[in-house]
Amino acid sequence: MTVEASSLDDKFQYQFGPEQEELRQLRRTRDQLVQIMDSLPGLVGYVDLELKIVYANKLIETWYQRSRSELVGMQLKTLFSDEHYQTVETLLQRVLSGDEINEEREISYPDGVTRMVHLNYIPDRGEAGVNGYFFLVRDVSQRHQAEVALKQANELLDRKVRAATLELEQRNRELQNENTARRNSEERYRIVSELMSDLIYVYQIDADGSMKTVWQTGRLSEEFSPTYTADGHHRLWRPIIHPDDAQVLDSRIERLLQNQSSIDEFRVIDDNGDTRWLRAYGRPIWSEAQQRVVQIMVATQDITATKIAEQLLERNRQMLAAALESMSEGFMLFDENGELVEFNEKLKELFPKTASHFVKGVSFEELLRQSAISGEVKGAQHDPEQWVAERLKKFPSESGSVEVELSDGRWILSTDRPTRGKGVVGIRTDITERKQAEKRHRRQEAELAQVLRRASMGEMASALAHELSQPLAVVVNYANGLLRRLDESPVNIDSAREALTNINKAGQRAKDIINHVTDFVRLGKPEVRVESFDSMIEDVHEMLRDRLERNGIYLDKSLGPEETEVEVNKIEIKQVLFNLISNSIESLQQSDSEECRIGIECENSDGEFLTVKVRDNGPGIDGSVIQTLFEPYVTTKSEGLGMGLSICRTIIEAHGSRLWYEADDAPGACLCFRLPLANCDHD
Amino acid sequence: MTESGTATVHIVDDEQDVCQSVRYLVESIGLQACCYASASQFFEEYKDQGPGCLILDLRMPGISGLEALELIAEKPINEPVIVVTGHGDVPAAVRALKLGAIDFIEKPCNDNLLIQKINHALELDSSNRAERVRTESITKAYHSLTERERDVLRLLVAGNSNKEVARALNVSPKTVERHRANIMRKLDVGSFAELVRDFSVLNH
Repeated sequence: MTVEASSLDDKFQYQFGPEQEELRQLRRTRDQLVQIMDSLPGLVGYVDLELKIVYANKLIETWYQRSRSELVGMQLKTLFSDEHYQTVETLLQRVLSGDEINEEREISYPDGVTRMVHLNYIPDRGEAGVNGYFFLVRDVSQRHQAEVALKQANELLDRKVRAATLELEQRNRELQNENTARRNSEERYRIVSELMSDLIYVYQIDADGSMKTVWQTGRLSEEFSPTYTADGHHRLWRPIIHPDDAQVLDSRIERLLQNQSSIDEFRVIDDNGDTRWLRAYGRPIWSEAQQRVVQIMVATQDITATKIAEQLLERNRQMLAAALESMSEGFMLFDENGELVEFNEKLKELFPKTASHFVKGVSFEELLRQSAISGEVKGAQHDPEQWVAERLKKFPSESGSVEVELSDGRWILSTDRPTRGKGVVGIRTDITERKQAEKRHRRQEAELAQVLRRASMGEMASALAHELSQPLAVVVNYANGLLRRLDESPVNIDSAREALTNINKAGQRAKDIINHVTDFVRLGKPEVRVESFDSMIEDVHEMLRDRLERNGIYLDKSLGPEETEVEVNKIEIKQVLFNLISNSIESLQQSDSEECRIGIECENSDGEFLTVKVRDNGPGIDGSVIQTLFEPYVTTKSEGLGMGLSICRTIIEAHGSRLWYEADDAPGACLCFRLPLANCDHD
Repeated sequence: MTESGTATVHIVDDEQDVCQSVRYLVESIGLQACCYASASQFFEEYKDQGPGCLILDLRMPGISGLEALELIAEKPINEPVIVVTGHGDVPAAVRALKLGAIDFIEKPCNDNLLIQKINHALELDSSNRAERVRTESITKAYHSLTERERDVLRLLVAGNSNKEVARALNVSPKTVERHRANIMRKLDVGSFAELVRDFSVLNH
């Protein structure tokens, strides 16, 4: 204390002069000042030009953990830590160059406390410049902290305000959205209600029981508007209610007033006198306070169309049921669980032995089993399960049907189709007659084949006669010639040999002809040879020449390449030509054309086949016959077996070719076939 | 069967086997035979070889039998024609007869019937030939008559008496008598009846 005081004394001596009284006065003042300074909560002191502490107040001891005696005269650089010194170095330079410093710094002091301090350095200016500086260092940590806290608090508040604002805004938006949504939903509800309902109305019920409509909307609101009775009762439907449905309205209002929702259908008679069906959904609004129904909301639909549809549907259903019963087929319907849900009586008639098992809910499998066990189905009784398993494989079937023969000789056609609803519709048809007809048909076909053969034999007989007449003539002539020569003497042996050789040859030829015909009758593959097509036409022309001339028909056979050779069986192809030309002749006999002609057109189209067309200018072939033209027994002639073209086709097909009817614009009929050309490789 | 002795049978048939067999048969009765494979071949190669006949198959490629008959009628072919028809083909036979065939025979030919018909045809041919010879000589003689003699002949054949002829020609009956004697001599007839017969031939 004294040390400091003395140094201060010097200072004050210097400053305040030597007068004693004044000195004492001054000392008192000084002491007071020192006390004041020591009691100051900040560091106060003086530092000289060499940055040595000249004076410092008491607090410095605490902060720097050193005694004041140590501190006075101590270089700041020694006192301060390096970090401390660096923090204030520039400030020191500035204050010593004359600036007053007012700064705040955070400094760690030796007492272990880091303080935010306000540094106030005041330069001590003398006449010769700065002598040193006064320092005043205040701990502003708390203020600073408070400031920081305040700032943080402010920021927090700020954030909170912002958050709150955002929340409010959000809420606001939500509210807006809710409002919009509500509005939308109300709008939607209104629209839907109006769509769903033709008339919506609300009526209010007063305490005295009188009612009045609060509002109403909807398509029918103009058509049906409420009327009121004298006592203020609302009357909407009552005046126009269908007499039979008045009761409905009574019980309805009763229920609603008892706070029960009510859905009612009733009829009204509109202004046009038409009966309209309405469906009204009523909903009471209960007031807890008044303990009564105060409002009733009603949505009404015009269901006239629906009712009509329902009635139609019902009628259709009845008709369907009637139709099912009147079907000549047995009908059954299984649902998606495989249970029988619908069937008709006919079904029972078809299966009398299992009729008692046709009940709703039964499975198809069970029905099959009963059918098998009862011996109803032919051949199923010895192993019913096996039969049932086999039969179930075709149940249901997208296409196709199953034909089942019953023990009593009847045949049932079973058609089981899956329905869209994963059920199965089964149709049972009695096809016994068809089956018998088929059997008859098969028998007839066998007979037909026989007849066909016979018929072709008949037609062949003429061809055969023609073919055989020549070798026979040869045989007869040589034989007779030889017989005559045997009467001569001496007999000319050479001449006899000539006759016998030729008789032998002619006999062989006759045998060949007969073999060919036999082959044809067997419908085997024809024995083919290279033949001149022209000569075949000539032969056939000769056979038919008189018929042609008699009917004034010109046969044009010069239409095509000459000297064409084909690989065919001559007799058979001549038979075909004969038949085709015969047909044309018969057709032309019915024609009243001036110039009847038959043309045989030949075309060597692809080097492999000769296309032959037999065309006439007769009335042609009726369109209805063309499809079945080549089938046996199809004929346009009043007296004809209908075998000709069938035989022709058989022959042509046996030659690996085909016969067809050519439909073109030219009048008359044109039948075509192709023959394999000779010198061609026909595999 | 007149001067040259052996008659010739012409056989037209596209079936050579048949043709040759008929030739063999015909030769066996001592006749000559010529075979033709088609009608056109016949028309090309035929020449009158004296008495004969023609056997013609109706069914032939190219010129048919019926067409051949028409052509024969137009040509100087006088031999009788027997046509060969298919069995039972009556219409063809009728048409052939109308076209000048003298007979028909169905295939297959019966030997005796064919020979019978050939003989008949040959007889017909020979009488035809004799007739033709006589007609030719009468025609020749007629052409040797003078204009006046022909007038007299026409009037006499028409049934006029000598006097009537004389009056019609404004000559004396005596002159008519002389013309008549000349005519009888030139035409080589012994009686007036013969004269009338011959004159009818000429008129044909």
